Amino acid sequence: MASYGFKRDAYAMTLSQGFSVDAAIEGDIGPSLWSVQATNLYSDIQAKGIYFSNDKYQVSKTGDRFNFLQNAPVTGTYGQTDKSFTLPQIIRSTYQFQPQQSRWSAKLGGITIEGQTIPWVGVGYQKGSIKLEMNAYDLEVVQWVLQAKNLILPGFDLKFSVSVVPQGQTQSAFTSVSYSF
Amino acid sequence: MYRQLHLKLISVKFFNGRLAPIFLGLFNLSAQAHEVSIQSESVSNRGFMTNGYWQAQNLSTRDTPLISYADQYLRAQAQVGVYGLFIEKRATASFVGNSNALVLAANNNASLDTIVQGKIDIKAQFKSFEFDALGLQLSSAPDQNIRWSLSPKLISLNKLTSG
Repeated sequence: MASYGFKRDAYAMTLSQGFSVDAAIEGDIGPSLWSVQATNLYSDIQAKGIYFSNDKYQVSKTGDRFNFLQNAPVTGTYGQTDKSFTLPQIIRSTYQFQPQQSRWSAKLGGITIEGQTIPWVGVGYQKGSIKLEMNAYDLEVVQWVLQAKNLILPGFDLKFSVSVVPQGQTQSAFTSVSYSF
Repeated sequence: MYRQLHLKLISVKFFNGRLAPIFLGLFNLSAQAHEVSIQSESVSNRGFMTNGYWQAQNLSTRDTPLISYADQYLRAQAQVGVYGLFIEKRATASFVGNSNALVLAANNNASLDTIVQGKIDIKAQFKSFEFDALGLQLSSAPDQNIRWSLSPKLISLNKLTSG
């Protein structure tokens, strides 16, 4: 005995509420800094579509063929159901080494997205409140990042990036703007 | 592609919502650090997430993984005692698959000039969400050797694509 069938009065899918948890941890070991940041480490969002009915139908299987022993209600919309979604899980792991009193730093890490990881390496140079970084993702896409802290007024930070692919094409973007007060 | 879709400016309408008066009130209650930030981060291990880039690429018989994400948000956080209370409007998308799926999508499944000998794998797992959130940030003291933060948040979903 198995339960099959759909409600006949289909209605539009509704987006609803859910929850998510971000987490981060970092630490210092001498001139080294390590960090792990997880965006959407755990999440659950319910979206309501169309419900399975509670009607029971006896179903048997012969080879690859399913046999319904009663007529199933074939009207209505098929392929919809209640669904639980998870937000994309993004985990950034970073190890940074910066000798004391040096303006140079070296980084390596990985970005894990839905279980697949992009390895990356980078170098940075900092002078005062300005920092320039070059990060290479999978040794394929190179991203230059210019970061300015306390620009114009205290607490105002700006980050700008330019990405370059091996074919020479570039793409630039304001990565972040923040103001603390 | 999805980066173009999601790079539209985050609307300031968020601040007209029901949460805004409560949140802005907390800004006044607390004398500690607050932060308002806009972030637009995008990382890919191959190429750019734009139609133009993938229209110019060829189908490949090599199953090279393509991993990318785009994460854009507008966020305001107020420090209330030891907690950070924040609201955010966020669009997050991820793509895990291979380049062939994006080449076909960028060319709208039209006939391609490329002649490919051999098997062409097409893999794509795509997620795209837009939501508003209200959350709490719990964190350790900033002067510790090991520092941590935990940010649970309630989400109100505005849009999703998953497949």
